[in-house]
Amino acid sequence: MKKFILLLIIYTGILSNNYAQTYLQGIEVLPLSDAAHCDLLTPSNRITADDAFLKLKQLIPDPVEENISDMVGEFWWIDGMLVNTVTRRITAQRLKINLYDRQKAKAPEIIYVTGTTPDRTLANDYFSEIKSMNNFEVLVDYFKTRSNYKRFLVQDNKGKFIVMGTIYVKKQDAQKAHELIDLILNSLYFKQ
Amino acid sequence: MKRKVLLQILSLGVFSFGLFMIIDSKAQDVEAPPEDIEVESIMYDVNANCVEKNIGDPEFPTDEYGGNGSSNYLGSFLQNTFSFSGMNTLDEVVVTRVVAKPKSTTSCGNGGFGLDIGSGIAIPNLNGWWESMIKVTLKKLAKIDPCADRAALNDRKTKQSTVAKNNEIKNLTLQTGKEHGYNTYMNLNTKEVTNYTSVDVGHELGDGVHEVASQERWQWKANDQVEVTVDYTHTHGFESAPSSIDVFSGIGIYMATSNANMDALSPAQKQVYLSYHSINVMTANHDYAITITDPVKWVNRYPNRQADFEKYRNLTERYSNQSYDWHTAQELALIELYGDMMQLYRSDVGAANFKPLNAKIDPSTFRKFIAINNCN
Repeated sequence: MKKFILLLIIYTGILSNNYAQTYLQGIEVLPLSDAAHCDLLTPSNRITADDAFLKLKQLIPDPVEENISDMVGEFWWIDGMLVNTVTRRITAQRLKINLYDRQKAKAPEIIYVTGTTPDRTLANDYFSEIKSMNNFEVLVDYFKTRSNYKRFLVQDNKGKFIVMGTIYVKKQDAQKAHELIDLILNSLYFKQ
Repeated sequence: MKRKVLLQILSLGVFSFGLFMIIDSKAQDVEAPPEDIEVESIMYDVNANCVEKNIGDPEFPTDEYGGNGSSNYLGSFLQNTFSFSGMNTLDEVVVTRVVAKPKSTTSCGNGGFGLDIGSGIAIPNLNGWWESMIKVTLKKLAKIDPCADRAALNDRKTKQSTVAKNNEIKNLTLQTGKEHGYNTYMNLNTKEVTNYTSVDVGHELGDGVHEVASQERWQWKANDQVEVTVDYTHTHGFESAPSSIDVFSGIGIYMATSNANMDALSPAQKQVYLSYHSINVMTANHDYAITITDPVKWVNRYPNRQADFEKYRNLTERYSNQSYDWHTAQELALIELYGDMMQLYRSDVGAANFKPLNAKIDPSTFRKFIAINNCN
């Protein structure tokens, strides 16, 4: 009987450990390696969702991600920055995104009273760019100085995959994050 | 005895397996995302009591709504202090001016800017809807029951004059991709729609940034009557919900304070203004309306709106990562950010079927979703 109880405890422990060791989570999320190759973001150097959440809280005092279940996708820790990708297949239910529409939807909107000077503080700090690289199109957007979050949205030219990427970074390391996005994108190729 | 122990162990096993399944389903989140779920009608309880609050804090930035201090705009409204108290649910308010200052009919003296309605300026030919518009009376947005307000919003949207203006800005946006907007004038005493502003054409500043004006004005008329822009409507030519910046449309009128050149609305008039004011955004996917349910929070959050926009963006991305479509992610972000001070409504494009939206949590997946109140 004691053996049975011991087994049960071990079994429960394994299950808990399994949760702690999650490297990929989210609805219909694929490993990036299933869709593309990227020298910087390999399966072997991923960190777990738990570790990613701990790192996130070190970088950002008050993140919008409130718990581990908000940590969707896969994570890497590179040079003091947390990299996240969420890779999904484009389907009849999840359509290819019009990047130009999405660019407008993400950008700061300025509503001002007629006759007054519009406040363009947010717009002046904002960067957004759509470009074609390797075998994909990408929308990169972020606030240059005021944000801890730097985003990139990639769609392969064949219309099979979407990758939503985020670099979480301390504000003083913003330039490093902007360069890291370029490095990641330069080494990213979707599988044919 | 042995059987009893075995049963207990079996129960423990089943329990731990069940616990694992719950944890694992949360960790892997493999279930399909819940669609919009329609729920039963619920009564809405908001903080209707407005505590006294000084909102003319000179620390408020004189930007966006504050302008450059030009006396005929809202640039100076932040330099004085005013307070208000009472309920935001008043049915009728006797409109009186607090400060007796000369009411110029020029653009510098009336809190309005430019066109003085009813001053003899010819009304342009607007394909016949002007005649029907004259008699349009707006229903009050009581901010107590979102279903009652929904009916008032739907009523406004079916007015022939509103339909014409909405179609006008929608077609312009379809043609150019730019945002367009207009404001609706209401007589604060009679609650009649008296005019619409001209259409404001938005600008694209690059990087996807859009800029569009709102003609927030009030104008003193004979016998202490006041006309004020109670509704602001504008377009987004792309899939989206209202932005967090949109929520502050119309706050300039509410925050304005009297000065040497301008009489602001009295606190009582502001209460009436707010109980008719709505913010309307027509997008490629839906038409939206917003009503302000807690003006104290509205005013208090205004100085923080730029930091809030960044939070709104990040919340939207969080929900988008969770597999919600973009406008749903924005709806959830907006409600999470400002749900305690505003009510969001959604209608089909071009239709008048606004329904209140709320965010709820699915107990099986612990995920938030948009619940549509059918108001049945």
